[in-house]
Amino acid sequence: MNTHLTLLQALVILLPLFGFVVAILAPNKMKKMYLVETGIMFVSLVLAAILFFTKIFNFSEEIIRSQFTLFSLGMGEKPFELLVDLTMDNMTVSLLFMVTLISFLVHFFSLEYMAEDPLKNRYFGYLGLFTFSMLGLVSTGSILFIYIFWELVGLSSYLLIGFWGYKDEAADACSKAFITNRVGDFGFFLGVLTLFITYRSFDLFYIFGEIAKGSYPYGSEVWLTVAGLLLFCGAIGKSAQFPLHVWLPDAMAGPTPVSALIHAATMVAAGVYMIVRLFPMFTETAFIVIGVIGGFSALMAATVALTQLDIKKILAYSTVSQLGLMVLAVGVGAYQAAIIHLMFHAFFKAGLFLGSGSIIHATHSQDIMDMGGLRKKMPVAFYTTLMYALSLIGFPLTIGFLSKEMILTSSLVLGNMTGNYIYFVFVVLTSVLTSFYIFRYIFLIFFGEPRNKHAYEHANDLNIFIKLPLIVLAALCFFFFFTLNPITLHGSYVTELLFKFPDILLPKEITHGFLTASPGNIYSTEYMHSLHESELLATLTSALIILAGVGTAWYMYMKKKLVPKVPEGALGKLYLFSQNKWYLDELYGVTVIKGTHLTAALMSWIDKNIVDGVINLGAWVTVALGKFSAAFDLYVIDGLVNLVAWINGFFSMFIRKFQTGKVQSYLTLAMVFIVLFVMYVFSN
Amino acid sequence: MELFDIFFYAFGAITVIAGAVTVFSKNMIYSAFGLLILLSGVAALYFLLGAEFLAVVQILIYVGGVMILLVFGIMLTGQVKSMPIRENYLFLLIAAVVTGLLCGLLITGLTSKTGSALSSEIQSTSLKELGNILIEKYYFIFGILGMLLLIVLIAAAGMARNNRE
Amino acid sequence: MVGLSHFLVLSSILFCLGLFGVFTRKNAIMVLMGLEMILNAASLNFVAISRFSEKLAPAAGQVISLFIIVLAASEAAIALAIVLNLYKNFYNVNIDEINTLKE
Repeated sequence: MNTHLTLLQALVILLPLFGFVVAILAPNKMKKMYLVETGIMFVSLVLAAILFFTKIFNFSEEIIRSQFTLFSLGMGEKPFELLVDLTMDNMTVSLLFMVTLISFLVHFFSLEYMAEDPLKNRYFGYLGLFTFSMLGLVSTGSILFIYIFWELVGLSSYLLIGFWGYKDEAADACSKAFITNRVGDFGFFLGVLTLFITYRSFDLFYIFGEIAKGSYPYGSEVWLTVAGLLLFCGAIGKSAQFPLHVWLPDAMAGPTPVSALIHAATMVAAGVYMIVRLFPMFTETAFIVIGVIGGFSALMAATVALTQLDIKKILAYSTVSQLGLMVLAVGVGAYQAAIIHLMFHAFFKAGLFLGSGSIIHATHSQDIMDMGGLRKKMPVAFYTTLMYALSLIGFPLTIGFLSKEMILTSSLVLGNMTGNYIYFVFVVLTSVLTSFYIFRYIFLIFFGEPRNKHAYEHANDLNIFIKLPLIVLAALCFFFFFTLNPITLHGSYVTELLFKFPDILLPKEITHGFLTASPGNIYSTEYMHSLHESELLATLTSALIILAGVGTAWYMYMKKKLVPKVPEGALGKLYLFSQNKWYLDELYGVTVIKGTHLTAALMSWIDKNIVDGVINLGAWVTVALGKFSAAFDLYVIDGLVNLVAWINGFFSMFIRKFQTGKVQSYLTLAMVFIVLFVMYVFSN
Repeated sequence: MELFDIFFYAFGAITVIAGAVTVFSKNMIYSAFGLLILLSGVAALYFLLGAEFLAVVQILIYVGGVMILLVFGIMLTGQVKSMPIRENYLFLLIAAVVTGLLCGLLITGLTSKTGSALSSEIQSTSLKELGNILIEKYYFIFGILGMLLLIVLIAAAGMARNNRE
Repeated sequence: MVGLSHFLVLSSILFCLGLFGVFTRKNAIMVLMGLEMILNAASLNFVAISRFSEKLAPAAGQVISLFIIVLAASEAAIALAIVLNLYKNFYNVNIDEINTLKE
C-alpha cells in the first residue's frame, strides 16, 4: 500500500512536468495545447486529493519514504551514494493538495485573464514547470533535492515574472528577482555544503538524528548556528524577508495570476516551509535571529503598504508582511502556527491577488486613484475580496483568525516566559497596520465615488473563469473546513493530523524558554499551560487590533472621504518615507549597485594600465623572437627542404616511367618479380 | 589406358582448348562460350574426382549464374567486338614470357614434389559427409560467408543503382 | 595411369591461361573471365589434392571449393556492378583507357 502511495505521489509531481513538456514542445499550429496542460493540472489535483485523504485518514502516523541510488562515488566500506528521495509526511501531502488546488484555480483564472495573449502555450507551460518544482520541493527529505527544486522554483519564477519581457519594467524585475535570490541561495548552498561535509549525507532525517545525538558540525554548537543561519539565508531570499525583500514588489510586473500563484501563495512560502522542515536543527541564537528578522520584515512591510497607490504593490507588501509573521512564528518556536498560517494565507492571499487581477482586467488600470465605487459594478469581486480581507486581519469565524491567533498566543507566551515581549509587540503592531491598509484598499476601491468614469463604465464581474476561482477561495476562508471550533485550532484535525511533527523529527535539547528534551513532546508542560491561559487575552487583543485598524481606515476614508495624498509637515516626511519603501531601493542603488560600478571601474583601470602593459611587453618580445625565427627559417630550413625536394625530383624522373596508371601493367610487373623470386628460390 | 584415363584426357583437352578460345578469341561472345565450355569441363573433372555435389553446384552457380551475369555485362556495355589483345607487342611479349615461365615453374615444381601419383579407387563423396564437415568444422566460415553474401547483395544493388539524378 | 600430377598440370595450364587473359585483355569483362578461370584452376587443385591425399578427407577439399564458388559468385556480382559504373562514367569499359590513377 505504501508503494502505491509513493507511486501516486510521484505521479502527482511528474504530471505537471509532463504538462510543461507538452505545452512547450507543442508545434506553433497547435495553439490550444494549453488546454491540455490545464487538463493535466486537473488530473494532478484529483490525484493529490486522493493522496491527501488516504494518507491523512489511513496512515497519519507514518512517514512514507522511498529512496533509490542515482549513482555512488568512491570505494571502500562506505561509498558516497546520491539518493533520490521521495518523502511523504502529513505536511507534505497537505502542501501537495494546497499547491495543486491553487495552481489549478490559477490555471482556470488564466484561461480568461490571458485569453488575448499570443503565447498562451508558453505561459501555461511555465506554470506547469513551476507547479512541478514546487511539488518536488515539498516532497523530498534530501536537502540536496530541496536545493535543486529550490533553484527550479526560482527559475520558473524568473521566467514568469519576465513573461511580458518586452516591457522594460518586467525585464528589469525578473533580473532583480533572480539576482536578489542568488544572494540568499548562495548562503543556502554554503549551508548545504556545511551539513554535507559534516555528516556525509544529504538525508535530513539522518542529519536530525545525528544532531539529536549531539554530533555538531566541527564539533561546536556555534557552527550548527552558522549552518542554520546560512540555510535561513535562502529563506530570506525566497520568502522576501528584510533585507532581501526588494524583489517581491517589483515582481508584480508579471501577469497577475502569476503573482497570485507564485508571489503570494506558494513560492514565497517555500522559504517558510524550508525553515519549518529544518526546525529541529536551529539553535537558540538562530531562533532569535529568525524571529527578529521576521518581526522586523513584518512591521516594515506593513508600514510601506499603508501608502502605496498601486493595488498590486499594496498586496505585495502585505505578502512580505505576512511572510514575516510566519518567519517570526518559527522564531518563537511555533512551527505549527507558521505552517498553518502559510497554508491559510495561501488561500486568502491568492484570492486577494486574483480579485485584484479581475479588477485590473476589468478596468485596465492598477492605480488605486482610478478606482472607487466598484462595489455595485463588481459584486462578486467585492464580496470575495471582503471575505479575504476579513481573513487577513483575523476576523472571527475566518481561517485568518485561527492562524493569526496561534501566532499571537505563541509570541505572548514566549514573552511571559522569557520576559521578552518584542515579538508580541511586532505582531500586534503589524496586525494593527494590516487591518488599516487592507480596509483602506477595500474602501478606496469599492466604496466612495468613482474617480475615473471611463474605468468605472467598463468594470464588470466578467465570466465564470474569473468568478469561480474567487468563490472557491472565498469559501475556503470559512473556518468550518478546518475545525469545528471557531475559537481555536487546538485539538482540531489541522493541528493533530496535518502539521504534527512525527516523533522522529523532534528537536534536540535546546533552551529557548519552552523547548524541552523530553522525547515525544517538544514543548514543556509549563509552556502548554501558559498557552492555554493566554488564549483569551490573545483573542481580546486581536479584537482590539481589528477595531483599531478598521476603525481608523473607516474614519479616514469613509467618514472624511480622504483621498490619498502627501500630508503637510512632519507627517508628510513619514508618508514619503513609507511610500518610497523606506528608500531601500535607493539605498541599495547607492551602496550595492554604485559599489559594483566603482569596483568595475577600478578593475577596468587595472586591466587597461597594468594587465595590458604586461601583455604588450609580452607581445613585443614575441615579435622580436618571431623576426629572428623567420630569418632562420628562410635561409637555413628552406634551403635544406629545397635540397631534399631537388634530390627527390631527380630520382622520381626515372621511376615515373613505370607509372603508367594502367592496372594491367602494374599487375604484370608484379608477376615478373614474383617469377624472378620463385626462380631464385628454386635455384637455391 | 583405363576408362578413367580416357575421360580425363578427353575432358582435360576440351577444357584447355576452351580456355585458349576464351583468352585468345577476338569476339567476346566466342570468349563467353569458351568460358561456358571450360566451366562445364571442370564440372566433368569434378565428376571424375568423385565430387558429384560440387559438380552440380559448379554447373548451377557458374554456368547458370555467373555466366548469365557476364553475358549481361557484355550486352549492357555493348562492346562485343572490342580489340581483344593489346597492340603493344613489347608488353604482349613480356606477358607471354612471364606466364610461360610461371607455367613451366609450376609444372616442374608440382610434378617433382608429388612424384608418380598412384591412382586409387575413386569413390564419390556423399552429400551427408559434405554437410557434416560443413557444419561441424567450418561452421564459422559458413556463417561469415552468409553475412558476406548479404553484404554483396546490398552492395551490388547499391552500386548498380542509377543515381545520376 | 592418371594421377594427382596430371590434375595439377592441367590446373596449372588453366591458371596460366587465365593469368594471361587478365594481363592482356582490354575489356574489363574479359579480365573478369580470366579471373574466373584462375579461381576454377585453384578449385580443381583443392578437390584433386584432397582426393588423392591419404591424410585428408575428400570432403575437406570440396568444402573449400564450395566456398571458392560462393566467393566467385559474389565477386562476379560486385565486379559487374563496378563495370556498369565504369561504363556510366567513362562510356567504355577498356581498362587501359581508364588510367585516372596516374593523375
